[in-house]
Amino acid sequence: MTPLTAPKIFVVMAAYNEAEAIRPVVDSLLSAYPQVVVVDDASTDRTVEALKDSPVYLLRHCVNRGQGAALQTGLEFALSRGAEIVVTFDADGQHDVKDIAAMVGPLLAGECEVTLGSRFLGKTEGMPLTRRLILRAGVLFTRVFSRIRVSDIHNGLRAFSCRAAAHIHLEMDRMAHASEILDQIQQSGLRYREVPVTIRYTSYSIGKGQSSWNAVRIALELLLRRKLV
Amino acid sequence: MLHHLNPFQWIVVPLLSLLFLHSLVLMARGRHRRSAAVRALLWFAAAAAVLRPEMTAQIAKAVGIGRGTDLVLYLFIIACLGAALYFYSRILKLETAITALVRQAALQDKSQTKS
Repeated sequence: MTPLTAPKIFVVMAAYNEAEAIRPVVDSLLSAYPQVVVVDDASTDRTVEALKDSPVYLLRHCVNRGQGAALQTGLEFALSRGAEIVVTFDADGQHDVKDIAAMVGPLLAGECEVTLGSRFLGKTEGMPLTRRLILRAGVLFTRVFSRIRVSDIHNGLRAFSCRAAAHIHLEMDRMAHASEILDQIQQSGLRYREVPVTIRYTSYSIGKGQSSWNAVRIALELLLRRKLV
Repeated sequence: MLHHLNPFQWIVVPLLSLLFLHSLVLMARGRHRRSAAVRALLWFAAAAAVLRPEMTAQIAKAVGIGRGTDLVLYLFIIACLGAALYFYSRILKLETAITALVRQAALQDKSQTKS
């Protein structure tokens, strides 16, 4: 099913020290989605070398600014290149390329403008119990403070129509951006939907991922920032 | 009255007076007038507290705090917390500015696009 004019789908990835994992992730993406944007967030390992000869757009932050900042850079780049749909995808291999079609579908059908991947509607493979509890607490926190009802707040797989992407202005440079995105979706009144996706927990992705204590920090940062800025 | 001053007062009061005068001069020059005025007031209050410790004791008693030193300590803690919040918000603004710079550099870098 190839439409007459294929929509311009850009896949945006933030990468910080992902030399080990990024190449296979990028290759599997490229086989289905030719427009891949990798924002290297000043990696200190061989992430950039790993992407040598790969036909991706490679943007580089000269100083590490965090995942939120890198995603925002990628979003802006994709929009400047005329993206019609922007998909965010994690670089550590926890997402499944096959899920992207289901993420993009509702946008193409005009049913909503943002789709959010949810591991709790979908499948998880090997999720540690603490991670599950922390994420559940986060869902509650988000319901109270952002007044948005979702089942998974920290899922890196999302898809935006270009109109929706233009509404996203991430200022939380580090991990709190996930909540910030939800805030901005809510504030801009963008129609969103959750789509079940599979998250693969590998020892690599768990090691690279967030420590659970970070969740507490993120919550504090969000509350403080609201008061100060 | 000068011969009643103890050594501590002899050292600290002239220093505070100089700082006070300095703030007055800044005020007169008209740059950062408000913050200079606040500082002048602070130096003056500090000098007064050192010169007449019984004054802080009276204020402390009036508001229900036991000793003058405790009053000064509490004020100091409040000022420190205020300063910490102030600097935190400054840092947030700085970080936002740095990110904007880094992003602009990344987006303008023509050599990095699709090979």
